Amino acid sequence: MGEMLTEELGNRTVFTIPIDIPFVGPIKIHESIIVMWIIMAAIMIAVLIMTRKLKIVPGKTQAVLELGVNFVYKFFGENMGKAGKRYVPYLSTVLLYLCISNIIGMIGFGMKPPTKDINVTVAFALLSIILIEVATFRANGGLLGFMKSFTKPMAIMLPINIMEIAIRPLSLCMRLFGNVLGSFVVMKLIEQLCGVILPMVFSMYFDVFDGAIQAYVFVFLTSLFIGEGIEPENEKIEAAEKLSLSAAK
Amino acid sequence: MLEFDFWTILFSIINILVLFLFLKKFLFGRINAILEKRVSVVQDEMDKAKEEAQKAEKIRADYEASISGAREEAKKIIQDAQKTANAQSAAITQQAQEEANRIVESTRQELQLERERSVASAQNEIVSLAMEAAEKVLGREMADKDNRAIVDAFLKEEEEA
Repeated sequence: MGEMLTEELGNRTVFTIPIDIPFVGPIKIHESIIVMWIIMAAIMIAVLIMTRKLKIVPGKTQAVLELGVNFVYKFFGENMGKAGKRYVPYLSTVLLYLCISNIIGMIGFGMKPPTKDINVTVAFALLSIILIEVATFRANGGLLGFMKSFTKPMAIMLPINIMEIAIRPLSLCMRLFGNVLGSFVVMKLIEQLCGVILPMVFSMYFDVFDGAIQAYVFVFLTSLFIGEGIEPENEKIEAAEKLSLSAAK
Repeated sequence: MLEFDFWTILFSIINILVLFLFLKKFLFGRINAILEKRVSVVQDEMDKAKEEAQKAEKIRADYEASISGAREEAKKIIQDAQKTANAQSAAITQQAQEEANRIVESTRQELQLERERSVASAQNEIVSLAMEAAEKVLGREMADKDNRAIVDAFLKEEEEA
């Protein structure tokens, strides 16, 4: 049983393209990448079908899509304010991608959640920290402002703020990976214990609930960090709005 | 379990970015475009409706003004007619009154005249009767003219007494 688990937990390489590239070796395609491609293809096809005929007066499908889009704008808008509007599409993509990735184990066909592979969560976390820092850089208006932002709210926070550049993605990546892997292991053990009905019940919690929660937490934290970083820009926008409002009066 | 692999990280990043760009173009781009279009359409419709309402309001005001003008005119016409009718009726009544007065007056005069005439003839009759009676009593003819004067004087005395 232990061997079986180790086998299941490892990241299987499905195929290798035998081109030896210096330092990184031949191109290996992990199982998780294949599953990601499948998810991507499914999302793309679904979106293309659903957005085929958009009308001013929406049909049922369009109404649901609009509801979803409005929901993510509202949801992320709470954390990031007006200046963060341009980051909503990326965060929504991550939310959708992670949600489906975490839950895909339930669908079957021998697919395992890609987020069980730490390399995938590393990729998500890397992109998140890059986005956070780029957004902070933009909002602070150049290098000087960006460097100054590390001394906020006070100078003594400087080392902690610098360390956060590494801590944030690490915690994001490890939390997601750990949770998905943990629920994956538990589900495998339950399947060993009893093959029918029991896994279904537990899968509701470990796959659906935990998977959705982890996807939510990941994008929530990312948007929170972005919101923190772009605060100066939001303040500027608010000040401008107040000015125009008083001018209108 | 924890072995890092450059290729998987790279491919994952590419996957995420590709999906992001795809969704940005085909989901958010399209949905936001249609939402904006709807906002502009609704705005247009509302502007148009406001314009129409203003137009209708103007027409209503015009209509009301014309109606009230007509009503005033009608009132004036009725008042004029009433005044004319009143004046005419007063004139007719007055004329009738005058006519009646005149008729009553002339009738009264005629009656008076008639009475005087009858009184005079009665006196004459009485005088004749009295003279006849006296003739018979005296047995002789009196000078008619003198006697008549005497009787008249007597009658006058009687009247005065």
